[in-house]
Amino acid sequence: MDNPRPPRLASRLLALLSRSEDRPSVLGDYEENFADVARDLGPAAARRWYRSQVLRSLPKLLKGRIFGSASMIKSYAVIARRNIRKHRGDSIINLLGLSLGLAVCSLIVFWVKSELGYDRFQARGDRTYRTLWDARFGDNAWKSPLVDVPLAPALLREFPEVEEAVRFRREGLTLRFEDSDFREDRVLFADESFFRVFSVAFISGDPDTALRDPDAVVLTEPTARRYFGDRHPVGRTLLTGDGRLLRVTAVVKPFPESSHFHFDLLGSLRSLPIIQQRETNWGSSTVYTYLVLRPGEKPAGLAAKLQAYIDTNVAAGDSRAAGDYWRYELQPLRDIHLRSHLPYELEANGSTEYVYLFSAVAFFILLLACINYVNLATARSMARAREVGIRKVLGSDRRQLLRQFLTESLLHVVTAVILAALLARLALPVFNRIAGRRMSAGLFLSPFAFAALAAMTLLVTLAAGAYPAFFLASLPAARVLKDRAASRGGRARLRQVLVIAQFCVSVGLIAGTLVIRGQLRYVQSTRLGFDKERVVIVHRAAVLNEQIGAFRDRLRSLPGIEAATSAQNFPGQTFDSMGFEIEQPANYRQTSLTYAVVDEYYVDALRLNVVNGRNFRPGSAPDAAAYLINQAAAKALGWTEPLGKRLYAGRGEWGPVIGVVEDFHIESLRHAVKPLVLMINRWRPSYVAVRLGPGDLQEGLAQVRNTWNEFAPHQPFEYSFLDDDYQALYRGEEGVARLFIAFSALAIVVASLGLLGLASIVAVQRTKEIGLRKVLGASVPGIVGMLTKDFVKLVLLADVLAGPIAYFVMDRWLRGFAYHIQAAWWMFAVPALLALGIALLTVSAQSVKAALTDPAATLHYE
Amino acid sequence: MILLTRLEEAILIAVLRLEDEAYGVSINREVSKIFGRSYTLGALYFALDQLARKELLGKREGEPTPQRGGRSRTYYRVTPEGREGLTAVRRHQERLWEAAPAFFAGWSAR
Repeated sequence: MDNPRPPRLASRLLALLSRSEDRPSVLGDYEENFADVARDLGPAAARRWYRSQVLRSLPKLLKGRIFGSASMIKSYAVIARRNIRKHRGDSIINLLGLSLGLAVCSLIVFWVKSELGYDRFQARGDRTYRTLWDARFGDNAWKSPLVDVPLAPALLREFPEVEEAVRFRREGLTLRFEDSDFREDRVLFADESFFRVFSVAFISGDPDTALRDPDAVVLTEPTARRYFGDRHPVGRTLLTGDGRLLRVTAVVKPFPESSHFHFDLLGSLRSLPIIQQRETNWGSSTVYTYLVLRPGEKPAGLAAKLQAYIDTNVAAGDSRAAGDYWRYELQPLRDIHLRSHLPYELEANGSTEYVYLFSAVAFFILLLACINYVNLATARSMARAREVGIRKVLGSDRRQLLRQFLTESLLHVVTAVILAALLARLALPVFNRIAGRRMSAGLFLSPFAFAALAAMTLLVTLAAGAYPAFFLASLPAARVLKDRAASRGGRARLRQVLVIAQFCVSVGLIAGTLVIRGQLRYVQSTRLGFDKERVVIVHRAAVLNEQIGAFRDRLRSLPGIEAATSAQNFPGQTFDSMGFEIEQPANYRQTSLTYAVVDEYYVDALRLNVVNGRNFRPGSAPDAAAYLINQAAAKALGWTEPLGKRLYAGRGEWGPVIGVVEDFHIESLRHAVKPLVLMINRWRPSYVAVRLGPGDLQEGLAQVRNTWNEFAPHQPFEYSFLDDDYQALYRGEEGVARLFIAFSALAIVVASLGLLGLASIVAVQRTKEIGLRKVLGASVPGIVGMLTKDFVKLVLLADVLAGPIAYFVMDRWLRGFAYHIQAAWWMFAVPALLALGIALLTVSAQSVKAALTDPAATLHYE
Repeated sequence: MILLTRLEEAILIAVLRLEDEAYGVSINREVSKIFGRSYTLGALYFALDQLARKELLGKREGEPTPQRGGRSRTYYRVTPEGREGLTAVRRHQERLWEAAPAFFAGWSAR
């Protein structure tokens, strides 16, 4: 007889959803009914019927399922609550540790998520690429996102797979508004196609025409409000510092935080003279260019075709040496924030290393918190062994016990997660400062946050709750009831390993903090070869045009000012390099050298030491073609007697080296001092630096400001201090240092919380033993010593393990600096002793309490 | 007094009528006849469960039959509490209708 069978998947689902005791009868009913239908309507219709029956029954089946087990869950919850209340101290420690760990972990998860989500809001982001120019000519090689002006038109003209392309350039802009001058730094001058490449939300105005005219300007909403308040901005005009009128054509929403670049104003690219000059000029780094590929097109294909185009049409006439190249790379838009670290990035980008570092830290902290939980829960399970025994005797099966313990851990974890969310919210400002980000509190209400917290709850419950639950549930009833001691030693070794691991991490983090701080202090105190204190750098000095020399000389004549120099490059900024031809005895050789464009007063203003030869002479015409070099350059060029040797730098004439300055650090101490050439400027430099004399800094600054206002009444005065600029080179390291301090503090707190809990449980477990020992004549110090000894041994072991690991890691970090300290022994000894001290304090408080208990009270029990 | 849902009421009546032959499929058939529409078995189980929990219905395991893939039936019967409940519901209904205006008198008798 070939009876039709009901559909397998549907009946499986049914079996899954029905309670085990009802399962046969439920499945039987369905099958019988199925057979009836099959007889009447045929097997195919019957199978359809069966499926739809099961599907339509789902809600009710689920409801029945949940109602059915409600009573058991309630019982689990009641007992869990009783247990938490009974061991209130342990529970609080456990909750605090766990929620601390979870709070930090969730903050980091949010941060990582935001870091990974850069530029996701761009609708065509998956097809958008940035062009990079990657080229080499002789000793000069560079790769940057600034490319030639004609590239984008060529892309659109020659390659049908390019759907859209946009060029833009970033320039500062001074706006005159109601008799005041405002400096706008985040101004982009872009092609009309900007809005077809990037997703910009328009509040008013038309994306198709917003940038059509050269005098058009698009404002972001906050910028519009800054200038026009509540008035409608579109159609109004703004006056630039050089007297042009700009017409506001649109107001848009600013890009979100998660964009790799931002702008306040958007002008027309065609309004820039430089673009017209370089319209057909290949080989000049002028504009950023982004392109959108048509759907389905691969960037590799375009890159190959573009290379062929460049080789035949652009670079063909060049005289190229072996090893020279000229190519373009297409960089995916969404890779820019984390993976691009080129010169001339639009904004400082993040880095994958930090994402990994933070993720590892989050994982570690969560691990620590879980370890504590496991430790405490397992330890406490000793005290509950008897409960398990009795439950088993009374007929609990292993699964019920498991559920009981998992419910308890779930209750713990849910409480901890709620606490953690509150803590994380409170700590958000601090975290933002450490991570240098602006994450908003709104994040905590996002669906992602709920999903993340729910996932964490589940993960921690299973990770931290499963071990104690399985361990407890599998205790053999007969043994634990008969002989309590049998269960005591059980998992002591595991707990010891966990405690060691925690202290290892804590000691390692503290040692890391000490090493980093040591290195940063070394960095502060190292002789840099120049004096960075009390130097004001006036920015945008180029607007003074020919007046720049007069401005500098006026400043030099003022009483409170020691020196003033106009120059292009100062330590802490980017220095360019170019090919120099070098006079050798036999032939001429070209080599690439870093250079600084300076004037005759640069050496005085920075207090450089001329160790050989002389400084430039003010006003001396021959000196305008001369050079100063640093010691590193003399060494690199192999000149034992550099004075009088000649260099050629494309200025049309050979110039002699007239002096050698002592090496000074223009970069951070990560880098060795590079060979450097100082030469007199032939064009308008960007900066004037002023060394203020002793006396009030603010007064000196006011003098500089007043002089500026005299020379450039309509230009805002912008300045920075040289020491701040130079210190900014260490922003990354300082961030890491702050991070280490925060995390090591956290780690030690979590670790000692764990130890405290463990110690208190051990003390309770050995209550009777302590009582007996006291009755037999043991002294209080003796008992304290006995209880403390075990833990001290663990911490000592952790110290011994952590030392070499921390040394290895930190030594590698230090090697990242060309100039660094040696990691000293005390940097590892101090954290070790600290850990020991904290452990002793934590444990002895418990031990002393246990040791002081009257033996009559403990022995009388039972 | 025990309040029953319409479905629960119908189930109790169906079980009474089916006497010894009251199990999932037959009860469903009977209930569908009463209401003129069919219920899914899932909906029925939920109601049966509630009734069993309130002890208005009792359960008994039957013999496995080949027709059901070798699975046994669960037979239901109405407990004394169930009968009481049903009576109470009926009495409640009647009182309710007595209070209705005379307008309904002829209509309800139909």
